[in-house]
Amino acid sequence: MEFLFVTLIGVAFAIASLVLLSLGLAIIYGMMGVINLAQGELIMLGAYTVILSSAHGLGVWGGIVLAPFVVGAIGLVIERCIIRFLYGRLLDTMLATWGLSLAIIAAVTLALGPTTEGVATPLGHVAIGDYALSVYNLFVIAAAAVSVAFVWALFNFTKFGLIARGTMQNADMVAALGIHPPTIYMATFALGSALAGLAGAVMAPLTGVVPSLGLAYIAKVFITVTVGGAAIFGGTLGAGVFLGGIESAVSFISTPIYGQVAMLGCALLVLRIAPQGISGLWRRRG
Amino acid sequence: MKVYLKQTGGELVGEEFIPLDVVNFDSVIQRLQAAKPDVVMSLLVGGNHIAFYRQFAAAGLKDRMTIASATFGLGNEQVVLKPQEAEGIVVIYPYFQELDNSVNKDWVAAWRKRFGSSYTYITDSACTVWNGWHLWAMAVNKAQSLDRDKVIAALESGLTFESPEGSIRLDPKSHHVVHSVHLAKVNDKNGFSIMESFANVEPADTMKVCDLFANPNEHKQYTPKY
Amino acid sequence: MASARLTALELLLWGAAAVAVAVLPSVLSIFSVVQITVFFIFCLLAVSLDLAWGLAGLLSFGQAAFFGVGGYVYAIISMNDATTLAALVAAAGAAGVAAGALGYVAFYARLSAMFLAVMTLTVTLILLQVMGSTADPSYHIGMAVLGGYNGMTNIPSLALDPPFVSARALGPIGFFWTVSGLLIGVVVLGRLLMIAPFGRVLVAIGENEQRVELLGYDVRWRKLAIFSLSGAVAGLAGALFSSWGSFINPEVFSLAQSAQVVIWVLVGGRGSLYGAIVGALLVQGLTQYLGSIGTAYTTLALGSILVVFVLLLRRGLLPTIVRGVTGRIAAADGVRQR
Repeated sequence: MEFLFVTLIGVAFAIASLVLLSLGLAIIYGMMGVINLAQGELIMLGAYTVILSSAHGLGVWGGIVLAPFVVGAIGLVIERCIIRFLYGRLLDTMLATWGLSLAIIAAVTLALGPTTEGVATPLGHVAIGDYALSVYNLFVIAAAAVSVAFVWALFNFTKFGLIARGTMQNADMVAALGIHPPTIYMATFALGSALAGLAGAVMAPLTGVVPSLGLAYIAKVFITVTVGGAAIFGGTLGAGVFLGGIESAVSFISTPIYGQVAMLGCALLVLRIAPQGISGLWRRRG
Repeated sequence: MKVYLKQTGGELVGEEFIPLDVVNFDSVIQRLQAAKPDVVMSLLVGGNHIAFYRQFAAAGLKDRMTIASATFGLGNEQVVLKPQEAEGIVVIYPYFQELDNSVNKDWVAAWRKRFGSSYTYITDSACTVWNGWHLWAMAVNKAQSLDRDKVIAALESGLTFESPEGSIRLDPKSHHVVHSVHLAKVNDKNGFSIMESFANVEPADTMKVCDLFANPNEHKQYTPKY
Repeated sequence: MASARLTALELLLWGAAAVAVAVLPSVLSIFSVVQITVFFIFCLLAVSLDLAWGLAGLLSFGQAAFFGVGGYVYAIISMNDATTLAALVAAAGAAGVAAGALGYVAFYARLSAMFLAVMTLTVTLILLQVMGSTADPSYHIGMAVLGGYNGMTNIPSLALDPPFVSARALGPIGFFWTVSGLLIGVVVLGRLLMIAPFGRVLVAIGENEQRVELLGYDVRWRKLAIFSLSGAVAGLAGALFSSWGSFINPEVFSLAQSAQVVIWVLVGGRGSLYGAIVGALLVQGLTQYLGSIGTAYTTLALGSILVVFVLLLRRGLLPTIVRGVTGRIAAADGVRQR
């Protein structure tokens, strides 16, 4: 019985972390059709924010609060200098952001060195029968839920959200109504970067933080977002639940290797059936 | 590993291979909790696998099981992990920065002077490279030539070198090095405390099967049978 | 964009290349010859991507997958007592078939270019996982142990061993000539393909697929054909790579390797086949040089180059230079450049 409960928490954790990590890219892709392959590095920068802030006395939690602002600002700079020129050129943005990701990894390695002392996982563990569960995993699940709820509320209940959704559907109409779409793009890219920073910060106490951290996540996040399609919530949530669930369930049943293969195989299958991603099943993209 | 386990009467309760880019070790940790081993032997490598040690400690398993590893430390994992997470992990290498001999003391001082006194930690890999180059240089000086065959002949004449790890010797037949090996565990200063030292450890199983005098062109990778 | 006709200049270029290749080993050290051989193998891989991407506009992140398939098939077959030439042919064939299977799924279902890019990337990653999990010695095909992330070692080097003739080993120089010969051969064949009607239709497909279809051509089998050919050439490169180092491991299926192939063609310029060669040589040469300073600098330089090229030199080096030169010549002739 405990085994089942612990396994379910494990699956929920895997889904939650995948959704949290993918939320930023989902917004960027859903809004602007930009596939930002440097998203992994934005996640890594969020993790390093926590490392550096805890080394300077702000603690893990201070770092987690700080990270979205720091990485959001970095995202803003990236958008102004590079992404802004490449809207509409999907494959070109993929290539440019891939180059950016290489450059960021190298810059961090040169600045901070390849190994830095990390942060231990806070909150300890709780015993469930014979098994021990890290309490921080529950925090991650909560953080993912809160982030999704926050972004959903932002998009559906605020003026900014209304304008953003309008720009997603028809940028020309929004321009005709007197709002400058490039400003909206800038804001949403910054938002997507901030979310990536938050995800990285939350994940920092769980893994070894090294400059190549982003590379571990980018493939999964990229595939989740393309399988999810353009709809941010339905698509990404659906893809996160589906792919994250499959990968962790198979990992628990057999080994992590088959978990990864199963996830990738299912991604291929979904893409074959619905080339626009899951959200393409109920949405038309103009 | 399986060979030695069998010889000493141990029992293998589980075995897992992890892809290099896995960061989520939940399923592995759960299986560990179910199997309840006394010792976990870790051969994990790479930046992503550091996550295992972190998640292992977070699940509170450090009190229940000891981790022994033949790969931990080569990537300065004990620097990335906080002391309370890594303390007590048992490793075994020919070289540790903490070794107490005069050659090592001079070497570490010279290293710090060249690369800065805040240099993180000198790993066994650094010493291995140092050994390799010096053995080659000794052979070239002995052969008085850079010609490949002459240098190999000089290398095969049984060279000894005072390395920072202790005295090492090149075994002529297997082309392997006879090391001084030290058993250590991670301490609370992002380094290691040495528990026991073994001098002149020969690569016994390779020496049994590999004779490069008799078969100089052999290039086969030997693995122990179990 | 390369011209639609074979100019005399181009034929001269091929002749000069052949002569240069024949003469090179006598002026360079063995070490340099071996180094250039692997650079040429990468050029071959870059050319394979250019055949699909430059000609028909099919961006595939999967050239690394076909490269790896070719490498592994060569290793497996040659280690099972077959002749190395047979292994080479089988490797190219296997990669071509793999590309054909992938292409069939993508083109006959009329799926988008984005899907092709994502699918090829996903397949490469799957191969990475699968090959990486074969660490246990029980994973073997005949006498070839697959080795997981440790890779396969002791792969027999390519030798001249056609059936019914006694085998003759190829030293480093012989191997260099073989690789160069294959590279020149593929480029010549590729150019001939481009000026043939088949090639012209492919270029048209790259420009506007819908228009070509409306003109009555079946684009599907054409795309499939060029994609399979490109896969076969990548597999050939992979087999040569296995033979060159006597080693292969799942790293060939990594995200980094897939991206590198695209970077080579992007930097050199696609559509002319020569651009791919220039790009591969330049980037690999730069990586080699910077690597001696420190790997972080290599990544920094590569990343920056990629960003700069996408933003400023969209067409890549070769087309930009060619345009600049022909523009100047035209201006000198008093003709306005269009």
